[in-house]
Amino acid sequence: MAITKEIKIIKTEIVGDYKAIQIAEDIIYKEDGVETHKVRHRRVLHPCLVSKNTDTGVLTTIQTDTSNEPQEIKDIIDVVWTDEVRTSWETFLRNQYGE
Amino acid sequence: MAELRVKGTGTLKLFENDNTSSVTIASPASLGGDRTVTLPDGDVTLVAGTMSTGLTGWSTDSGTNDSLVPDSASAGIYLGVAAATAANLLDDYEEGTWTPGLLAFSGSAESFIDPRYTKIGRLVFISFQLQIGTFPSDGSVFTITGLPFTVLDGAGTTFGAVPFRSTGSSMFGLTAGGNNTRLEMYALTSAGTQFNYNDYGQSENMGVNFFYEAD
Repeated sequence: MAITKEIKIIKTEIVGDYKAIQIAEDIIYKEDGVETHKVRHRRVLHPCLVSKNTDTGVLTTIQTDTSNEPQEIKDIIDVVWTDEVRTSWETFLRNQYGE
Repeated sequence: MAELRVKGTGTLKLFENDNTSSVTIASPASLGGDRTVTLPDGDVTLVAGTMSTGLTGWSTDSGTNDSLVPDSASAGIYLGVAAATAANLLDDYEEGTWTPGLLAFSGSAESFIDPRYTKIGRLVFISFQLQIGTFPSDGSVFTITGLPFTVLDGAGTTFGAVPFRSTGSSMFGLTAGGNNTRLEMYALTSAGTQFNYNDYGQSENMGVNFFYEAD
């Protein structure tokens, strides 16, 4: 008896001025190739995240690793995450820490 | 009143001329009003085939549990009103899992248990349990990433939640800001100091229920 897991993208949405990529995917579990159950999973991609160290006050930008994303997500990223969007999003995050 | 009566026992079948098409029970439009088909007292059994709801744009997930399925993913149901009113339209519901993470956390002893969400209309409810073991000193802001939906845009769009535990001297709360998908932790004092991982403490855990709004 082989139990397998498959992830299928159901919907992608581009949200807001900063082009967050909102992804709905189904995690499908199969037993000998027959679907036994399915779970909806959600995640949202941003170009980067910014972390602050409250001891030192230093802000650090952490770029989002998209290397393992499916090609259809990479294609969306190439279109919507322009340099302007990436810059404005990072500025937005840094401004929230008073920079 | 005219009657169509079957003499003896048996089944009354109505066909159109081609002997295959079904027959629609109708009445002249000039009569207006609803028509009524009166069934006899006692049980009535519908045999074979599917009874149409008469609704256009909807079907059922036949073979599963006969729930209604709209043809359009943007279709919804107006609740509590007798006319289409935008404020009463329920057009989104979803439940599932998500994958939280700790941003810039230098430790590796964290685990999120049962992160789940339910979205009803614009309201998103998330829940999870977080367990953190020991970790190196880390002054990074305590930030949970990966919310399942982007927080609604808007200058005043900041939401809060208060988990059930306190650290040594402070109660703390979590907030989420517009356009973001992260939760940050603040002390519940007038100063509202931002918590870092060291403030949170080692070998601690908490359960979180959090509401916010999304598109």
